[in-house]
Amino acid sequence: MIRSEAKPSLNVLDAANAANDVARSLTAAAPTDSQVAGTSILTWPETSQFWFVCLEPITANEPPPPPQGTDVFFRSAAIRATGTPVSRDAFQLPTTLPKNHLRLAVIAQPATQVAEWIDRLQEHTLRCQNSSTPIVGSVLLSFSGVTLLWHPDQLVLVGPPDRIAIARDAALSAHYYEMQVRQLESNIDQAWEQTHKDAPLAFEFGERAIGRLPNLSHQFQEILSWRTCYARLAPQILVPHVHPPTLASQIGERFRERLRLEERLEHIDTKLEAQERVYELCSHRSSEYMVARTGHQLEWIIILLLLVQTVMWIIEMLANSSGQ
Amino acid sequence: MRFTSIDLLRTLAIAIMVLVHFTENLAGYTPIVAGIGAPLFMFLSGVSYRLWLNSQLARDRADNEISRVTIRRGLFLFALGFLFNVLVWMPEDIFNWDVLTLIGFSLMAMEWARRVSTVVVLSLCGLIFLVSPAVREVADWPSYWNEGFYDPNFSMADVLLGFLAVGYFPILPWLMVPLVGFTVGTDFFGNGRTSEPTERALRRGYVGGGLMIGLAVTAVFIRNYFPQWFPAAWPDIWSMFPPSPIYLMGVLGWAWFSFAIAYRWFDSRSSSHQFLPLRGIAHTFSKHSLSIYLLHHVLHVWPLWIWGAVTTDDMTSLWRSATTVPQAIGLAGICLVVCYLIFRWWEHRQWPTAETCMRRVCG
Repeated sequence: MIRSEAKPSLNVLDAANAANDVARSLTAAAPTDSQVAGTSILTWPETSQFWFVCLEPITANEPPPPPQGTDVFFRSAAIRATGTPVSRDAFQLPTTLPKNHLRLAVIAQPATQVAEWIDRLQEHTLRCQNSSTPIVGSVLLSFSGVTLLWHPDQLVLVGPPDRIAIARDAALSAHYYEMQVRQLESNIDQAWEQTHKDAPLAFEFGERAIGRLPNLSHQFQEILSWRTCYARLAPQILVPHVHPPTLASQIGERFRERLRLEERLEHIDTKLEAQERVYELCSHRSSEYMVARTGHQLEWIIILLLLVQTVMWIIEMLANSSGQ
Repeated sequence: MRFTSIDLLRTLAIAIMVLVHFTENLAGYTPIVAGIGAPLFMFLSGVSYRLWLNSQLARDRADNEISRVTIRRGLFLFALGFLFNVLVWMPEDIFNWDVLTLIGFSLMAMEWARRVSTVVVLSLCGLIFLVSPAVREVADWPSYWNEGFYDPNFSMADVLLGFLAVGYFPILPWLMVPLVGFTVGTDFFGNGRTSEPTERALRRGYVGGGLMIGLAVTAVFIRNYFPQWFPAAWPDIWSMFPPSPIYLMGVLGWAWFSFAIAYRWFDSRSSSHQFLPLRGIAHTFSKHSLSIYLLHHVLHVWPLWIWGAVTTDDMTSLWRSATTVPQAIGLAGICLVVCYLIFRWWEHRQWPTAETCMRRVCG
């Protein structure tokens, strides 16, 4: 998987560690990493707000209305983002969020006011960088006084109140597409083993393989659904830069660059093509075999009928010639 | 891979055959269980062939190698059947077409069956089932049987007719029993790597086997309680020699049903640590079933011939009148115990048995 260029600079941090460790440092029980970093400053500023954000695709079926007490952040033609406000303690709990969910922390004050906090966060992250290896790295971006610290599970936004909403929506939108790409990559990579197992059937299909037909069909449908997903994602990611640039467009573009979404899409296309090729051939072989098999069954039944007739004729002949 | 269900059912089949042979040959009495042991044994040979085949396929053994071994084993059993007839019975009984020749031939038929689809195999079974009564009629089956025993002339026509239709276990209709066993084995364990039977396959066993038993029982009941509904010239509805269609349906249903039930009881995960002593006994009987089949005949037929020859001029003078029924039953029980002990000891010593000889000769 692709990891963003996590140079030891102020702009790029391994937020997988950073965000989680920030959260951990705030709990009284396990401040170990914070102590290592020697940071008492890794406490959230007073203006911090926390949400669990749900990003849902809008398809032909309208998603159910959000439950009461949920904030609808934005709704585009393709996505709806809703956030459930949570307490700091709930935010920090190391629970696994459901699919399509993200932890969001918003600090509505100019980033300059918490610059030192962000520096320490970076420093802390660099110290803890080796403690885990996230599938996709993290991104730290700063634009027009807004700072975003993104990780696949968590987004921390710091900025003046008048810009924070724009930055949040742009970041959530970018996160959604990255999440889709990541999901697609994960699905395709998990399917390789099965593809290798099924590959011989693209050349030769026999009686013993008939039991594998439902699996082949299922896998073929899965690949088609990934291809559909790819086709829907590509126009959202492969877009030209907006001119004149806005804060939202810059966030989106920078996210795409940092997370190398365009290159990842190309790789997905190549991988999908290889898997499609295997399953298309399997599909041809299996359908040819099944058609031939029906014909062979009929032929065999005719042969058996003739055989039985012959046996009866032989028995009749033997019985007539027998001396009994 | 051994399945306790198969071991137990094979042990049951052996026990029934031993009991029936002892009581019939020594006391002239046919117990009520006669007729369900041999078909079960044949059915299980089909299931076991499927398991053996799966193990070979899982090891990626070459297809022609599997064919070669199958045919060799079939021929081995076929030849062993003749040798058995000569040595245990009389040389003139060489072509009585007993169960071993049938299983030998069916192994060769299964070599064909494994290459075609289940539909074709079942079509053949259906055809055999349907044409067998007509074939017996054409062959004039009663003229080859004398007082319940197969008694052919020593001519090529009679030998072939015995093999095809009128012997003890002719291929019409008995070939269908191992073939159905093979098909059920495929349904249960798959045709590749042996897999655990699906719930649907087991349910097919309960329902299909149960229905076949139910139909057979109903038919026998109707025939016995309403004889006036049927022409007097119609053959017996439940008869092993010749095998009537209702009898065949009943025993096939019994084999299928009992296999599904036994699998559920003894091979499901929940019961894997139960009945351990029983499993051990069944394992020994099943592993040496062919040897026990041969040995039990030697143990009761040879003394009969020898004693007859010593006491009178006629070797067969004590045939069916050597003992009383309880004595015969007791001797059958002793025979089973002796066979068990002999083969436990044999196993311990790692001495060759009929099965190991077959493996060494045929691969």
